Amino acid sequence: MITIKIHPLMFFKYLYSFLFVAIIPIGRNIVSLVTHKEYERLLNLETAAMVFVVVFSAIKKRYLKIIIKNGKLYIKEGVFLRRETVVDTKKILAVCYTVNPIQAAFSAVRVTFKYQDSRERSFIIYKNETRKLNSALSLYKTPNFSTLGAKRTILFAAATSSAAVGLLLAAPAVNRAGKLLGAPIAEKFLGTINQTAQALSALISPLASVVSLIFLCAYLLSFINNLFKSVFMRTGASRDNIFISSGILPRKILLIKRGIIGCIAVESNPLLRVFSRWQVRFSVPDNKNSQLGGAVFMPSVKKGEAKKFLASYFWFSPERELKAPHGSAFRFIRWYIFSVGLIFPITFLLVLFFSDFSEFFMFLAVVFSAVLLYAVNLGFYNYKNGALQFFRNRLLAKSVKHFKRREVLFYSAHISMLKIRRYPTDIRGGTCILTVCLQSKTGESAKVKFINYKKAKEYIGKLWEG
Amino acid sequence: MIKITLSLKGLALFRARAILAEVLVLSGLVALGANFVVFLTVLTATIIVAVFFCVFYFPKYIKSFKIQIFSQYISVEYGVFIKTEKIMPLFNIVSVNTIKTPLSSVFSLRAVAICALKNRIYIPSLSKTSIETLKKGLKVE
Repeated sequence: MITIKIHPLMFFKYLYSFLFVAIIPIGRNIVSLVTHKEYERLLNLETAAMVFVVVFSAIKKRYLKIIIKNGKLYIKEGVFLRRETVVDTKKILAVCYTVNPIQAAFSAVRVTFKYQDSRERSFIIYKNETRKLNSALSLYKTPNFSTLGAKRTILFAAATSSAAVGLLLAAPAVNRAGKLLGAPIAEKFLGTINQTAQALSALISPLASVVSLIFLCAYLLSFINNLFKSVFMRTGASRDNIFISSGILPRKILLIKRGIIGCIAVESNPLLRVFSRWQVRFSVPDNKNSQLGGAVFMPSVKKGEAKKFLASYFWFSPERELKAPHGSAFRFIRWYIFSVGLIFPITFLLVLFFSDFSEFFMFLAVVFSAVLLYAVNLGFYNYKNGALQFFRNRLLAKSVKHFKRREVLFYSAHISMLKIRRYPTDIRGGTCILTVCLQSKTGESAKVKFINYKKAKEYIGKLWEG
Repeated sequence: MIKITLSLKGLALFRARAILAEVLVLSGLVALGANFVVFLTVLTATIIVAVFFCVFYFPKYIKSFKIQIFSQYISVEYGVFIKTEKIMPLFNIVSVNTIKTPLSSVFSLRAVAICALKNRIYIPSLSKTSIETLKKGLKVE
């Protein structure tokens, strides 16, 4: 029998749910007691509620027990209403350890179990208990570890960063910091950007440089955030499990059983394409967007390595293949060419009516044209390489999605839906657009364009047989 | 294989909905105090749209629905100009929801949503017997 020791921080985890209703009001009252000597403000219903919550959380933590016995995980909890959850350790499909700065200071680890029915439970345990837990759950048998080097870490962080995420991170942080410090931080930041834009005005229009600098700063922030998350990344795979650990603070360790993997994507975004690199990512069928929903397993590797990984660990042999017919390249790029054609008259009209912003509109036209020309290039790639391959109980979709070149291997048991769409041109040409959707809330999907409709139907009919 | 078609009463239901929508738009205009020219323009436009949908689009849309239940999956095909076919494996179906509105109950029809995680197949108007057949085919009963 193995007993996993619960860390005292679990008490604060219980307390956290009462933070806004009990803890903060009482904290405010204590401050007023210290500053204004108002003793009577502490003797009220809020204090009584807080005392109850604190005592109840302490007792709840005291009575929480995690025991592993005879291949079963027992979670015993509750004070007045005793509850015991028994889970077969074979049915624990993934375990995730995360350590934030506070937990790191107190040698604590947050552990999340994912059960077979997609339910998840989290606890805070002592750091030295993790090894005991892993050996008891037989999840740590991962002999071949590979550590990510500095160059690959930087490339991985850069490839997974985006200006949109940076803006989402920066906007509330700048706003809150400004309110807390009582200083106009946002105004100062924009002022600095404005000054830089004025300095660059000889090269580029001030408005365009302001927009570019804001996006660049947001991207940099996202990059730094991702660098902290991905530094010291280690991955490993055994016959049954996959192991991924990354980040300093927070550090995340993910142990996952291969059996639950719903799809494996080998993909390359524009930045990775510059360095001829790909990344291998897997998704897990899930009914919520949890931290156990999927992860990048091989960041920034050569395509050969990614293919080797697929071949050695997820062995399969091709049976049938569907590709777009020869001579249909124009169908892949027609909308992009049409859009490029539209940009020039629209820019001309905008410059004509808003002549004060002409340089900015010209800048936007150049940016959009560059993006669309890249999309045309991807359209050609999709025509040449796009395919749908049917295997025994598996399906490989080679396509392009969100400027990423992708090869996604779906396990037929985890396919939620296949969507076939035929536009009038497809009906005439006997082709269709097929979308494969994973059984997951993350919405993982792959779309293969202009494949033979009749053959697709025939092969789909055999997909779930046996 | 089980084949299910949409009830012809569905056509009447769709037409009733179109007329109701038109009446709602026009009464909204009256309530907002639109002048006669605007009212007449909107009336003509809505009548043209309603006639297009009631005479041309809805009959074709109802006819286009092909529901087939195979041993391993369900396939639902529909669409007039753009043909869409949704194929869902039976073992991944999470729930089958039946939806009844006051207007659809007049025609003794129900809408059915077959749900898997993240995705669903929506069938707009089925009779009670068709729903029974569908549930039997999907093995949810």
